[in-house]
Amino acid sequence: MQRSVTPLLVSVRGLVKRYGGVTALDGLSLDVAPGVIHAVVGENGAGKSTLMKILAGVVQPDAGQILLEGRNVVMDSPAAARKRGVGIVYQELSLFPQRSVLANLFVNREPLRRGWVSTDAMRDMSRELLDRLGLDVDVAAPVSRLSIGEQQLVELARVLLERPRLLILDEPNSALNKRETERLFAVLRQLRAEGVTMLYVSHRLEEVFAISDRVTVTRNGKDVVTRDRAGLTIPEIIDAMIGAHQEDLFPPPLPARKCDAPEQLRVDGVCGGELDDIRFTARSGEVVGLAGLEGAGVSTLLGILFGTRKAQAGAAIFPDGRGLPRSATEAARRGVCLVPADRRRNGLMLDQTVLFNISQVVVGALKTGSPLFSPKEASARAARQIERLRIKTRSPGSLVNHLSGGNQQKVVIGKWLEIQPRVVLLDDPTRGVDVGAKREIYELIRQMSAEGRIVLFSSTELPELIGLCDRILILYRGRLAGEVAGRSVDNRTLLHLINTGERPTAAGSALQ
Amino acid sequence: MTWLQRHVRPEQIRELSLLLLIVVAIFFFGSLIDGYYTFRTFNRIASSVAIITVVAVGQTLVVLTRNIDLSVGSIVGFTAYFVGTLIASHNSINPFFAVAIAILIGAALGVVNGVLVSWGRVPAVVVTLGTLAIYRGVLVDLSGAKTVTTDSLPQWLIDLPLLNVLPIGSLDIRALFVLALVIVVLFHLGTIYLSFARRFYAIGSNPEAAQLIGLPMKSVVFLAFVICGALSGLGGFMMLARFGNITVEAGRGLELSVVAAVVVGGVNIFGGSGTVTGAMLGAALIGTLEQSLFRLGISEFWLNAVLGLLILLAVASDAIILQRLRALWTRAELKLIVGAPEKRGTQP
Repeated sequence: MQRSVTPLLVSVRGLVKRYGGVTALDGLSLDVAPGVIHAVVGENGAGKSTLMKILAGVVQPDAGQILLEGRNVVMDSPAAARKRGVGIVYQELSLFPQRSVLANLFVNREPLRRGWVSTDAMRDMSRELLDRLGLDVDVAAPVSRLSIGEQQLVELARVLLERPRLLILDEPNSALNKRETERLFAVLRQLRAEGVTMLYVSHRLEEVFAISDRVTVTRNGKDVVTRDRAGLTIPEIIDAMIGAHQEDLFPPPLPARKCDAPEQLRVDGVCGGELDDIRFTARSGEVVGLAGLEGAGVSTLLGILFGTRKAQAGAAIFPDGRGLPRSATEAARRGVCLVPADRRRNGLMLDQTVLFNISQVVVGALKTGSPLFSPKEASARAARQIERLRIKTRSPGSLVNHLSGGNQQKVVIGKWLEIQPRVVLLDDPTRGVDVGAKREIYELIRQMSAEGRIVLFSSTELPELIGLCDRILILYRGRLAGEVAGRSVDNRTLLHLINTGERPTAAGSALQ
Repeated sequence: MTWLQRHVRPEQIRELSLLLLIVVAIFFFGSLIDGYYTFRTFNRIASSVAIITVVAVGQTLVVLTRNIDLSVGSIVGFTAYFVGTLIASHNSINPFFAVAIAILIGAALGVVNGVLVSWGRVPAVVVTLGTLAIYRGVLVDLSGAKTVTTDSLPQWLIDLPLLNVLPIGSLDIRALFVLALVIVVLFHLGTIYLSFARRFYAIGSNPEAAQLIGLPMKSVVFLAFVICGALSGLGGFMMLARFGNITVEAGRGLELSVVAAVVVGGVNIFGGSGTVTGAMLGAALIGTLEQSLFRLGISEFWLNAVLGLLILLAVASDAIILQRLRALWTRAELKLIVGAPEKRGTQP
């Protein structure tokens, strides 16, 4: 009603952004009226974070325009965005850990008195804001000594000190506990009353409902629904987030080969990092899914099982009858392998050849008979995996950097298959992989499980988990929030569990 | 929380313990060397510390930005030699003009380092290892391996290191030492009260965040190298004044002492934390060790080994000890916060 009359503060038209072959934004549009809290929700990879980065001037769009109060603007640097009154609180902390709270709050715009930087002025300028945020800490202490929640508030305070007209919050409460979240929301409401416009990005739908006035749902880089919160329900949002997925992408399970000795991996009360008392069993021939939001502990759990992170408590029994590996080398020697989420950083040596990468585990980690490197065996290994996994490369001597994402991932998997792993840990193996390669990776997972290997499969894409896994374990804020059978669960229940840690109930729908 | 914990930060414990270490070292050498507690010893140590300190201040700025300058020894030698020949051939030159020339030569050599690191995107270790050799090579070639000798220098320069600025009883506080102290005080205050100097810390502490904030990364790193070069140039002039005789070997290996001073002084080798005063204390310890071990008749090679050991110990202890201390402090603070409401909770 009134919204059609008031001029829009921000209007985004047809934004397009591609990273290599992956399209992050595909003609996204968004209108934000002044003085509202506007939530942007969507699955991982739906384009939320890219949108925020473009508005903050960190990333440049390939096409489309940004209008601020009706005028076309170019945000070509973080400084340019800040000058136009756009402030952003990043999901990952961007503080200077060894510097004091005050130094962080006023970095790059230190208040001067008679030409000198004045900490007294800093104290004066920040005191009221810190009180309002309920941040009661020693402002001269280095930020690294504060809790994560306090650090998040410091980051928010730093942005608020710039008095932004548009405040972007990218999952601002992912590190906050319940009390801190409530305080944050109180501050946000107060800011709204003062006329600050906010873009609020979050996964936690309940909180989006608690704080926002208007909601935009994004999917595959487009905006699919924008409506007032009052006219929306959580199930409606979830439907819009998921959209219609093709189910035929997932190959049917292969007939399991006869296993002489079924094996199992038992995890018993593992704690460490954000994890709290995780216990489950996975049997050979089974694909066990792991689902959870960023920071829920999935990556930590896989890291602990692979020996790259230490568990603070708890134990596990691996198929070889021994406990948690103490290092990745030990894991590899015991037939445990991990396909990491960030393959370019952790999975591959990009400046080396396909052959080198495939032989890496056998030569580098295993205690094989001969101390000599045999080029003949290495090319045999490379040829074997290239053929088996259908890796598209001109020759085994091509650099991995030149392969497509899907083929790079196959190289990572191939190097592990060379050691015949008993336990296969897959951390979001299809991230940034094209559809064809995805299907091939799904087939590989089926094959591995049919061969009697234990497969733990984490993914941020729900249809994948549902289509492939026998069982899905859901982690929420470090605890095991539930377990569902893969094929029987529907998207909605699973998404609800992942986002809230609880099964949808009658009480849940009453919230609408 | 103990009194200590309320008034001292874990980061400051390092500098305090360094002070203690210097005192222990003095007592240790005092018990080994006859006539150690004399003003001659003090003066000798002080003038050696002065040169290391001035160069270490520059090095501190570079290390704060997650870089390192290995070419400082060559810059010191280069300026010492060329300013020396200049003064030797023009004895009537204005002293302040001579100092300015030294600083300018040093800064110019620092510009080369800075440009290559910031805009050439070559890692600082590689750049400065290269210029370490190049500057020295150019020096040897241009000088024809000749030597600047004391008798060719004007009287004011020969008198300068003996100039007594602040006589306290029979203790002399000499000009070079005072100069070093002034530099330390200026830069210590500068790193706190000048906004551009605070950028050194931010960049070293979290480069990605610095980029998101929009800090001019390249020019800040460049500036650090130029200042380091300028201070090395000043160090070269001080070396000329102190020794009078300058060969092409002057300042060779100084980078080891300087990096040791900076690291022992608590400047984080990964950037982002540390103070100029800490670097001075580090230099004091290094200088005391160097001069005292020399008087004990220990060879220069063993001395270098001791410096190397100190660097390793300092870096290793930095990670472990500081972490422990921080944990202790945090626990004490937690007790303070959690302890209070608990009492209230149990009473009703």
